[in-house]
Formats: sequence, structure tokens, C-alpha cells
Amino acid sequence: MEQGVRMIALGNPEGSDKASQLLTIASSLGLKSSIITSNPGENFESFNHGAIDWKGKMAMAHWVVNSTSMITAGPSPAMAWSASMTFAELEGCRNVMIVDMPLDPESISMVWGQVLEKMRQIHVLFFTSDSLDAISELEGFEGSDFLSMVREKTLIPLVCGYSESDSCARVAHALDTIQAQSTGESEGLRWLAGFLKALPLSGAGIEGIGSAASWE
Amino acid sequence: MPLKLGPAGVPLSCKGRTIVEGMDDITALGLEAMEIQTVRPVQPKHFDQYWQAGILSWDSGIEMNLHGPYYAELLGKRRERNRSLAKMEASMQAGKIINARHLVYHVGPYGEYDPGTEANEQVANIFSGIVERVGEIWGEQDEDAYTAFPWISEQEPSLVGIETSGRQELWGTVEEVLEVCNHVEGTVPVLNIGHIHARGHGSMRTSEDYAELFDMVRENYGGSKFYCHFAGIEHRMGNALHYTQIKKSDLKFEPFAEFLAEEGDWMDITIISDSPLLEHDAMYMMQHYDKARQRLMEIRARDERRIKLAKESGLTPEELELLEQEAADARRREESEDSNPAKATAKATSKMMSFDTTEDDDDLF
Repeated sequence: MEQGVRMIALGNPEGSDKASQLLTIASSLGLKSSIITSNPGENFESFNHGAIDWKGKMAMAHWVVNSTSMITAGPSPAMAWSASMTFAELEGCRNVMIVDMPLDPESISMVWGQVLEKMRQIHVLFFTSDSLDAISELEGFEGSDFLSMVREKTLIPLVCGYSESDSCARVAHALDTIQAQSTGESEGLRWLAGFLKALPLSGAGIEGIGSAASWE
Repeated sequence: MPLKLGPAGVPLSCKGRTIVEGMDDITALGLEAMEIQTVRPVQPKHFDQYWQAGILSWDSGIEMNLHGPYYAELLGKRRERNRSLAKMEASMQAGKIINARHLVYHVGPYGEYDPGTEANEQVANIFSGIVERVGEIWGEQDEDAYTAFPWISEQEPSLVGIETSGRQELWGTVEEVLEVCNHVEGTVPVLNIGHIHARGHGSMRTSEDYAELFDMVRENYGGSKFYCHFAGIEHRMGNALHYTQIKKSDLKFEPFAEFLAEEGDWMDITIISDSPLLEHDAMYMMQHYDKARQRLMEIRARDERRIKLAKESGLTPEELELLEQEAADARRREESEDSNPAKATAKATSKMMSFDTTEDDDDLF
């Protein structure tokens, strides 16, 4: 049997979205990973998402990573984004959602609304630095306790965020909020990749989460 | 017993993402209710969708309901309370055009209040205002709209549902919710079973636990109409940690199904699945309810048959049951003796009365 933590992600063919970037970093850290995208020559906006063999792709995967940029990338990516989370739930994988700023900042409210609709399926929610600022302002909860407030309101098990201002990654979970210094490389995505690599091995208790969060 | 089941949102398996497409899927799955989650922000294009959903609901009989903002701070300071109420306003407007039978709201943290009368009075005051506002919205007359959207004149305004909470620091024990609902006409308790289970340290385990809960609601609030949420939940120290699919939780649906099948005749209940597997778990609940009803019907048929046979043979049903028990014991003995031919002769000479003969065409079991 294949050993080690494995993750898959839905991303665009160019690899420019945050989920694809995370996978690239995760691979460099030694995680087994694979990207799900459109076939060569296929238009990503309208690719045949119905042909994706989610069950096969998710076999042995621990994490299924998505980013909110899929919501605004077109009808097919948006459908695949939604379907991937349901299949992950059915197949026993954990959903990771990276919330990043959309190209049109005005649509952040719509994007956030879509994430909230899926809150019961998400296991790890990660805010990039700029999306953290935008959504905390949108919700009217500015300050360092925003992550724990989101966790309490949504009951998402792990709500994480990276703040550029103090180069800190924070993880709010049911029992505490943990803060870890991070190099900040790739807007905190490197920290997230390492966290996702370490977490299944360290356990979901306070110490396990703390140890996984401070892996850098 | 009228039981309506449905998902909290557009079904996950729905190919489209609009509410109307979701309603089509709900009908195809044999479900009868839906709870719309208020999207943010509510935009005019959403209202177009809501009208269509309202018309379809009126024509098809699917019960539509609407959940307000995912969090609220009604016991917070003035600014927080007003912010929560502003978010609720859009859901009240949407509730009218979608023909929502229930508008479901959270109250949020206790804030500066201690649990008790003062907090409950404040919640009651706020919800009086909400009910009044819902009445105003439904009362806003527009003759043209009446012809196209008849529920506005023919239906009662949406009932305002107050949801039980799943954490100790949030207002919303069953007792608190019932007390406020008792004092504010137009409100109904929304029993989130997952929350009640979590807050009660895993209290909903047997069908008796459900009987106790619904008896309490009936005694304190009255009525036979209930609106519930059900999902798997992980909890610790009396607090909900996160939602899970039903199969992965210590909160099982079977005892609830058993209670509904055995003692729920008097109830008119809507159960919304807010699990991560929305309609899948709604179907799972429906199957378990059907199974529980089937089991109950078998038991009743067996009892009726026993009474009938007892009458025919001049015995009391209890005596007959005793005889059946002895016959079952004898059968078990015989089965164990089958492996020992020497003892098998006893089978032929047994004079025990048996209902398990092949000649008995009426034997259902």
C-alpha cells in the first residue's frame, strides 16, 4: 500500500490558482499530489467536468484542496468545485478551502457566500493575507480573533490564516488558537502545505495541531 | 403522520445550482421540503429566482423554508444587534416571495447577559419586532402581484423559527427557546437535534429521549407542528465542534425514526437535513423512517394474528405468546440437535404446538 500523505486539487491548466500553487509546493515538500484540470486543448471554463473520475482520483487521498478562484473561473470549474467537495465527503477525504481574492474585488462577497454554503463540508479553511483583510472587513470582525469567530460561527474544524503584516500563520480550532511564525513564502501557502503534510501524522489534539502548525 | 424531509440548500447532486432546479431534484428524490440558505449579499437576480421558487412551491406543494444569516448577535450591543437585524431584513423579504413557511434564525452569544429571565425577555422583545416586521412585509399590498403570486393573500405570513444552539455560550437551550416562543406569537421552536445532542453531552440516544423532548415541547409550547434540523455532529464538553454526515456521528437517526414511527402519529413534522451530505442524508433518514414503520407494522400484524389465533383456540393472547415462546425454544433445540441424529427422533415425537408449519398459508413470518 502507498504510504504517506496524499493530496489532490482542482486547478486551472496554467497552474496559476492557489490550489495548484499549493500542490506544487507540497510536492517539493515530499507530499504525493495530483492536480485535476481540463484536458489539453479543452476550454477550462466549459470543460467536461462530468467526465472526472472523482472516486478514482480520491483513492488514498487525505486532502482535497480547492481554491475560491474556481467559483469565478466559469460554469464548469464552479460545478467541479462543488462536486469535488461532495465526493470528498463521500470518499472520506478532508476538504481544504483556500480563500483568495478574486480578480474582481467586488465579487468577494459573492465568493464568501459560496464558501459559507459549503461550510459543513470544509475541514480546513485557509485565508490568504488579502482575503483575510477583505472578509474580516466585510463581516465587520476586524482583529486577530476573526479566525476563531469564523470557526465558532461556522463550526469548520480548522480555520487558518496568514497575515503578511506580522508574518504569522494562525490556526483557530475547537480548543484554542495557535500562532506560528512563518517565512511567509508564497503568501503563506508553503506554511499551509507543511501544515497539511504534518497534521495527519501529528494528530488532531491541541499538541498535534500545535506541532503541525509550527513545522517550519 | 405528516413527515416532510428535505435538504438545507440546493441538493449537492443537482446539476444546476438554482433553487428551482434544486426543487425539481427534491421532487424526483421523493422529498417534500427545502430550506434555502440566505446567500450574501441578496441581489435582485436572487429575487427573480425566489419568485420562481415561490410559484413552483405553490404549484407543487414543496414546503419552502428559509434560513437567516449564518450567525447573529441579537444579544450584543446596539451596533451588533442592528447589524444582525439588517442582515435578517433581506431574509424576511425573501421569505415572502419564496413562500417560506418558516424563517429560521439564531440568536447568538449571551453577550453581556447571564442566562435567565433578563436575556429571555430581551430575546422575546427582539423577536416580537421581527414577527411584526414579517407581518408588515406580508401585508404590503400589491394587487398585481396577488394574481401571479397567490400565496401572498392566501397564506399566513412565514412563521419565525428560533433555533436551538449547540454551544454553551450561545443563547438557545430548548427551555429558553420554548419560553420565548410561548411569549411571542408567530414564533416557533426550531429543534436542531444535533445541537440539542451536543449541548446535552450526547443526550439523544434512545427513542425515549426523543419522546421526552417532544413531550416537553408539547407540554410547554403546545401544538403538533414541529420543525427540526438533523445532522451528524461531533461534540465535546457540551459544545458542538462540527457537523458530520449522520453515519459518522454518535447521534443516530434510528432512535428518532423509531420514535416517529411508534409515537409520532399526533405530529406534523418537517425535518431538514443540514449534514454535509444534504439530500443523501435526507434520503437516509427517509429510508430509516420507512424501515421503522415497516417493522412496527410487522409487530402489529403479529400481535393481531396472535389475538385472532388466541380467540380461535380459546386461549388468552398471553397464554398463546407463552406457547409460541415454547415452540420457538423447541425449534432452536431441534436445530441444535440436527447435527446429532440420535437425538433427532425427539423431533418426530414432539407434541409442542407449532405455528411454523408449511401448511400454514396465513403465516406471515
